[in-house]
Amino acid sequence: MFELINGWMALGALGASIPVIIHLLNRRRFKITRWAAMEFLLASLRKNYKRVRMENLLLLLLRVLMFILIALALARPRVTESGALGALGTESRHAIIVLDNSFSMGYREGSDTCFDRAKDVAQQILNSLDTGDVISLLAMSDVTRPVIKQATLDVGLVRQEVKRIRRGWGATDVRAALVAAAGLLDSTKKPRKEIFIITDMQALGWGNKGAEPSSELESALEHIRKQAKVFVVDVGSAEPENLAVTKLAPVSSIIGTGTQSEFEGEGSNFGRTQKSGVQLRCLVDKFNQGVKTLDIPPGKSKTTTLTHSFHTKGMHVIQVQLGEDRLPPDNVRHLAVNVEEFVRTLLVNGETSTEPDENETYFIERALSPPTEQVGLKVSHVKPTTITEFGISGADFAKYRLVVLANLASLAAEKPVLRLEDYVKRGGALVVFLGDRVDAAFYNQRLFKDGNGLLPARLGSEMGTTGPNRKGTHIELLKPVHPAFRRFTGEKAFFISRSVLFYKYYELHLPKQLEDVRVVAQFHGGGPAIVEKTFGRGRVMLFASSCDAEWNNFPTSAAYLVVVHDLLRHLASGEFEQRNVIVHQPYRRTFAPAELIDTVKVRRPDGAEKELRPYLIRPAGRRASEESENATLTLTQIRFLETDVAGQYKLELRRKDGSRPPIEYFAVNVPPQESDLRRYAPDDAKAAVKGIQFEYATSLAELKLAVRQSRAGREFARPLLLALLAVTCVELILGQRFGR
Amino acid sequence: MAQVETNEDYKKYLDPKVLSRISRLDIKARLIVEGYVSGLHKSPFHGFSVEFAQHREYSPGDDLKHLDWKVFGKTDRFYVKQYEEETNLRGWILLDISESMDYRSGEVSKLEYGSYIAASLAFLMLQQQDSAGLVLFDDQIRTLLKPSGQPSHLKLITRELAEAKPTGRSKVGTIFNDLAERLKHRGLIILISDLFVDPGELAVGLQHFRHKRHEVVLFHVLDDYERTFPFRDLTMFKGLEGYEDVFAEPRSLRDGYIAEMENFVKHVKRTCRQHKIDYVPMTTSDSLEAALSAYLAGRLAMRGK
Repeated sequence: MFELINGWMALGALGASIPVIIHLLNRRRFKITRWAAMEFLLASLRKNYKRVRMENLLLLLLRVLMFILIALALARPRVTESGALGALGTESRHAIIVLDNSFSMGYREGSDTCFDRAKDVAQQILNSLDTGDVISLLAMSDVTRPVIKQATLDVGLVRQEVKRIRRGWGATDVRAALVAAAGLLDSTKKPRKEIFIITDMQALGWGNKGAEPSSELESALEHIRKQAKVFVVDVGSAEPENLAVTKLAPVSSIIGTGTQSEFEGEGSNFGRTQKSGVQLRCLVDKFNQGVKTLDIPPGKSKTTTLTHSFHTKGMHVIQVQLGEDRLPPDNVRHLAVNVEEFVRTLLVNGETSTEPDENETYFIERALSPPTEQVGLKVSHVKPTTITEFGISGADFAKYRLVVLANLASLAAEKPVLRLEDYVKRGGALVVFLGDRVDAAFYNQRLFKDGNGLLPARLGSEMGTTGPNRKGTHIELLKPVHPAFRRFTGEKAFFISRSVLFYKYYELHLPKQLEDVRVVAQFHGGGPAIVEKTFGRGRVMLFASSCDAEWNNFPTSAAYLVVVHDLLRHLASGEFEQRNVIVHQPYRRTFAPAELIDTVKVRRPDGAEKELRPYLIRPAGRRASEESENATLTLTQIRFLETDVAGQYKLELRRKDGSRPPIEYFAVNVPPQESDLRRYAPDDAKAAVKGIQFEYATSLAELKLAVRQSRAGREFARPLLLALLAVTCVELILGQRFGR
Repeated sequence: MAQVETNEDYKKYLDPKVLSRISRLDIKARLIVEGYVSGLHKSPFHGFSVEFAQHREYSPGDDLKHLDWKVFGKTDRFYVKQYEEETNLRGWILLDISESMDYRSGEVSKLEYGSYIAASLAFLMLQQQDSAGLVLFDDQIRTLLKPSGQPSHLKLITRELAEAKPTGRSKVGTIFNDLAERLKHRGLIILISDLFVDPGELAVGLQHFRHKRHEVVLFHVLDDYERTFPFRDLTMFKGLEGYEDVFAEPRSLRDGYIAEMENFVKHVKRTCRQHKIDYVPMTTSDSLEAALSAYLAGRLAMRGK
C-alpha cells in the first residue's frame, strides 16, 4: 500500500506543466529579423532539424521530470508494507518515550524496583533506534514533565537523561501524559512516530473504566491514532502488596499549648492478605512518641488516635511511620502544625453597658474563655478581645482567628467593610449576630450587596416580641448537620430543637444564587434561622437573632458552650490546610504588611534551597487608588511550586531590618491514592481511556516483536531527491552541450 | 533643400578623417595596366608622372636622359634622377547592390559600408590622376560610369552611390562575362560584395577578368552578425532576395550555420588564391579606414618585393 505523508504536496506535480507552458509561451513570443545569409541558415537547418528536435524533446522531458520528482519528494510517499519495494526506501522515526516516575514505581521486587526496570526498557528502546531517528523524553506522574521536549538526534544525551531521571513522589495520570505526548507529535515531520509508555499499569493512573474522555483528551487520542503507534510496556509487579499511612490530621483545628491535642492516623492495607501487628510509630519534631499496633484486613484501613501535649508554641512537625515494606515512599506522613498559646478572637460589642452582663458580648466572651479564677486551671486557649464599634476602624483583623459582630448598628466608613471582606476572603471567619440596634438598610446595602457581599442573606422585617408576654419559636437543624452542631444529633438533638427558643428575630431572605450559601438551622414552620456562606477562603455565619439573651435563650442553654467552641474550630480551620500540601501542589504563604518580610529561603527535604521574595497581591475587584489609601491592606505572598519531593520543608524568613522571625515548616505528602497498587489488564486500560489503541508488552522480547511487526513500511523521499539530483545534473550537462 | 541634402550625402563618402589616413599612403598598382613595365627604367607613357623622388648612382644601361647634369657639375659623379612611378590606371569599382547588401545589424548596412569603400577608393584614384569607373549591379548592370580622370568625375560617382537602391538578387555569371568582354583596357577591378551568389559562377567570372589580365581586388563585405550568428531567442528570419521565411531556434543552429559560413569563406579564399586575386575580408563593424589602410599597406609591401 502506498500512502503520501504530505498528500497535498503531490499537487505540486502540476508544476510539471510549467516547462511545457514556458515552452508554448516561448513559441508565441519570438523576434522577427530580416536575414540575408539565408542560404547558410537553411543549410544548417536541413542538416540539424532532426537532431535539434530530439534534443529539445529530451530537455523538455528532463525538466518535466524534475518538477514531478520535486513534488513527489515533498509529498513523501511511503509503502506501508515491507517487501522488495520497501527495501529501497528509508524510514526514520520520532520516538516519544514516556517514563512513569510516580512513587508507585518505587515498588521493589528482588533487587530491582519497577523504576529500575523501566529505565532498562528505555535504554533498550534507544538501542533499537537507527541513525536519523529523533527522540523525546517525558517523565509521567500526576504532572507530565518534559525531560527532552525538543526531539533530539543525540541518543547519548537521551541515555544520560534516562540515567539521571529519578523516581518522583507524585501520583500517576496517563491521560495527561497522552495529551502531552500528542502535543509533541507535530514538532517533527518524521514519517513514523512511536510513543512508548513505560508504566506499572496502576489502575488509578488510567482512571475509572467507562469515564468519558475530556474533549482535550479526545482530540489528543484522535491525533495519536492518526500519526503514531503506542506501545505500553508493563514493568509492574503481578501481585503487589502494600501498606501505607494514608491519613494524618488533627482532630481539632485549634492546637494549643499545655493541653492534650489529638491526631488521627490511618494505616491502609492495599494487599490481599491480612496484616497483623502493623506498627505505627509517631514522632513529634523527630522525637519518638510511641508506637500503636494495628491489625488491618486486606483492602481496608484502620484509624488510630494519637495524643500529644505541646509545651511550646510555634511550628511543630508530626510524623507517622510504618515499618519497611516493598514500597517505602508512602510509609510515612508528615503534618506541620502551628501550636498556639492563644487563639485570638475579636468581639465587636454593638450594645455597651456599664453593667457587664448587659453587654451584648457578655455570654459569648465567657463561653470562649471561661473565667479561670474560679477553676484554677487553664481550660481554654481562646483569648477574646472585645471592642466597641468605635474601635473597629483601628483593628487589625488579620491577628484574629474569628471576628464576631454582635448587634452592631452600622459601620460608619467604607474602609472597615472592605477590610472585613479581605479578611474573610483570605480565610478569616466572621459571625454576625443581629439585635435591636441593627440598621437593616446598611446591612442589606453594604454587607449583603445583592448576594455579592459578606452577608449570607438579606434582612427582612423583625418578627416576634420581647417582654413579659413573649412567645418563643423553636429552631431545627437541617441535615446534613453542620459541624458546629455535630454533637447534637440523634437523641441529643433535643438540646437544640426543644431547649432553644427565639423570641425575636429578623426574617432572612436567601439570595437567588445559593451555591455558597448553606442554611444551618431553620425556624419551626419555615424561615432560615442560621445561615452560613463561603466567601473566598473564609466563612461567614449569620444568626437571625441576638448574641445575648435579650431576643433568645440560646446563651443560657446547655448546648451553648459546646456549640461556640465547635463553631470556632469549624470556622477557623482554613489556616490548617495551608501548612500541608500534596506533592506538586503549590505552597502559598501570605504575610501581613506589618511583618515586613524581605526574603524567604525554602529548604527542601532533599537539601535543595531556593530563596524567594514575597510579591504584592491585590485583592480581586480592588482599584489601585483604594490600595494606596489602604496601605495596611497590601499583603505580600510567596508561592513555592517545587513541591515535588515529599517531606518536611523549612522556611527561613528574613525581615527587611535583618531580623529573623521563628523558623516555619510546611509538610508535603504523597498523594494517598497512589498507594493503591491495583493493576489494570490491557483491556481494562483501554476501557478506562476510551479510544486509545496500543500494543502491550510485558517483556523486552514482546516489545521488540511488537515494534518490528508495526515498523513495516518505508519512505521514499531520499531516493527521490537523489534521482532529482541526477536528473538536474543530466539536464545541466545536456543543456550546456546542446547550447540551450 | 533637397540639393543641400544631396551635397551632404556626397560628403559622407568623403569622410576627411578616412581620407586623410589613406592619402598618407601611396597607392601603386602592383601590375601595370596598359603596358606597365616592371622596375622604374621607363614608363611606356609620358603621362603626368613627373614627380621627383630621389637620386641614384648611375649604373650602365640607365637611360642617359635621366642623368642629372647639375649634380655632375657640382660633384663630378653620375647620378640618375628617379621619379615616382606614375601611370594612368583605369580602376573599375564594381559594387553589389542586391537586396542582401541591405542587411544591417548595427547602424551601417553592407551596402552603405561598400559605398564608403567605393567612394574612398575613387577619390584616391582621382587624386592620383588615375581614372575611376563605377559599376552597380544586382542580377544585371544597373549603372555603368566609364572611367574618367576628371576630378569632377568623383561627384558623378558619389551621386550614383548615394542613389543606389538595393533591389533584386545578385547574379554575377553573365554580368562578369559581359563586363570582361566590354573592358578593352586592362585595369584594376575592385569588387565589393557579400558574395551571396553561386560560387561556380563567381569563380568563372573572376577567372574571366584574370584571363583578360585585369588585376582584381575583392572586398568581401559581411555583417558582423552574419559571421557570428549571435541570436539567442526564437526568431522568425525573413528571407531577403526571395528566400522564404524560416522560423528557428538560433542557438541550436548556430554551430551548423557558422560551419557553413566558414566553408563558404574558405571556398572563396581558395578561388582567389588560385587566380591571384587579392581577397580582403571586411565586416561592417570593422573600422573602415583601418581596413583600407591595411589593404593599401599590404599593396605597398608587395611592390617592395
